[in-house]
Amino acid sequence: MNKANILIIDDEPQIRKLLSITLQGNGYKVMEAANGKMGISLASANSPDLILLDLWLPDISGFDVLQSIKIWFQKPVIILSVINQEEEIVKALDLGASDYLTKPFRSAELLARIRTALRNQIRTSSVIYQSGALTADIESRVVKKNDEILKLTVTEFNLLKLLITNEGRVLTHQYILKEVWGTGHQSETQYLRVFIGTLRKKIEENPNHPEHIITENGVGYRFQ
Amino acid sequence: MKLKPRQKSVRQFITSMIVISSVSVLCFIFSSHLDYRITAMFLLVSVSLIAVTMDIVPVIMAALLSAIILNFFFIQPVFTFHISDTEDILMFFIYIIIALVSALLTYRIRLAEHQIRDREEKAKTIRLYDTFLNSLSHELRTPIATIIGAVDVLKSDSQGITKDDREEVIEQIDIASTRLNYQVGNMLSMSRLESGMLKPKTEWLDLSDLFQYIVNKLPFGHEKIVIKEAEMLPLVKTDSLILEQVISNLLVNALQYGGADNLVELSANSDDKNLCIFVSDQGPGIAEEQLNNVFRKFFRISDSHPGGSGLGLAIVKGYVDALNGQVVIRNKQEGGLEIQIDIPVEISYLKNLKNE
Repeated sequence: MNKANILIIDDEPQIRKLLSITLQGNGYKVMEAANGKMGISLASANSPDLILLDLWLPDISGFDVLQSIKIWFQKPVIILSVINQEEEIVKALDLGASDYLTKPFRSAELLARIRTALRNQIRTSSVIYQSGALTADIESRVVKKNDEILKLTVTEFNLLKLLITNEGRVLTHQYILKEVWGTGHQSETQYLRVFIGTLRKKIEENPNHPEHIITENGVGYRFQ
Repeated sequence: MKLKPRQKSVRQFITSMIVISSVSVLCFIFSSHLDYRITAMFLLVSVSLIAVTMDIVPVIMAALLSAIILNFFFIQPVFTFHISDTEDILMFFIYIIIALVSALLTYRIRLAEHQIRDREEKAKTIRLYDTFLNSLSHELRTPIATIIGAVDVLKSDSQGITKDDREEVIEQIDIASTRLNYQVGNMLSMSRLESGMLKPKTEWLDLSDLFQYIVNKLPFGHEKIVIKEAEMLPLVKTDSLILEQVISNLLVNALQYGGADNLVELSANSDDKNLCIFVSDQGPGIAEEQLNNVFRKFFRISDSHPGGSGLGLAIVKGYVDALNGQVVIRNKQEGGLEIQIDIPVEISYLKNLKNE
């Protein structure tokens, strides 16, 4: 049973109630905060393992919360937002949030994201990644699919490395471009599209139904 | 094609002048047989006829012109503006009065007609709006009613309600909430479109990726959708979220109305400046005369099954217009409906180069 501690920061009592019931029913310990300031103080006092943060809070915004805890809170923060807010989501991700969910979401989705986020915290480059047919040894730069070594270009490898070491996080287009291609290339989304395409062709069982590199339209990509 | 107001008044003016002139010329030619007072009658009749068919300005012009002509060419002494006979002076002024009065009369009748028509238009718009509201109200309250009813069943401790009943009713809540969420989403989209505040944002997109993403994200029906040959499409630059909504709505529409067991096909092609997307189904199609009505708000085919919002295609049209594109709808020869979206985009062949 997972005993992870989850902090819910949302001003709607019904949302907090339902989330609590769902999370506690799945073995998590839950703390609740009805506004941003309370959320920040609970986070600093109790060091939760994960925060569910609503972007629209009564006192300060979700962005302000992210900004405040960015320096010292290293655990995953999952944003709860509503539809058609891709710009806000990108902004939140750039402020350090790791993933997002759009209300209304199904519990299954929520629990899956929480599990992924909690599982992948200790991803460093010295770990060998393995899932299904894919194996990646980042340190020695060897990537295998079905035990066959894949030939990746330097860019493709760097892209894969960035995705794998951030498994469980949603990476925005701009962030990926900056990390892989360097600052000043943040508007070259064309290259990103092309390389994601070629990378998928190499590492996915079925590039048309990707299992590892997941698109989040209007926001970025995720690796799982 | 209706003439623009300016063209229309010029036309009317010219016509009225021609009529008066022709009648005057004819009367003049036969002036040896026609008493000038008969000429006056003819001219008066002409002015009245003009008043029946034209707007007030040409009518008054015709009245004045005919009076001038009557005076100059027909009343003694001819070819002067002087009138020698006192009775003729009286006749002349009475002529002018009658001509102007008939102009005024017909103007007022025309005005009254316009007011009636305006009132009818307003009433029609109100009726249409009421229908929209009723439709909307129905679309929202039906799932709400289901949820309330279901909750009451669950709260009830009546013996007649079995475990199966409860499970069934929980399923109903699930379906109704999903439907409600979908309807609200559509209404918000419609609202955004109608507010005129929509600003498309462009970014480079991999269409084969986007198509797959959209299909996978649909709440149902993935297995019935076939994506054709999207691999070779170049990168396009347009608004990814709008495109997602448009294609999504088209697919949902095709799945709902294309026949339960039939396939829906999504395909696209492009040239250097345009992207064409096609969504087609194998269903019964739509009657030719109804084809262009499908993009109107709340339009539903009369015997369609419940559950649709009537807004899906109106939203598609709204978004495509916002992208400066066009929507075309047609019945395919081999049966089924096809909707084509054309939007102007920037194209990059980078992907195709890279893949060679």
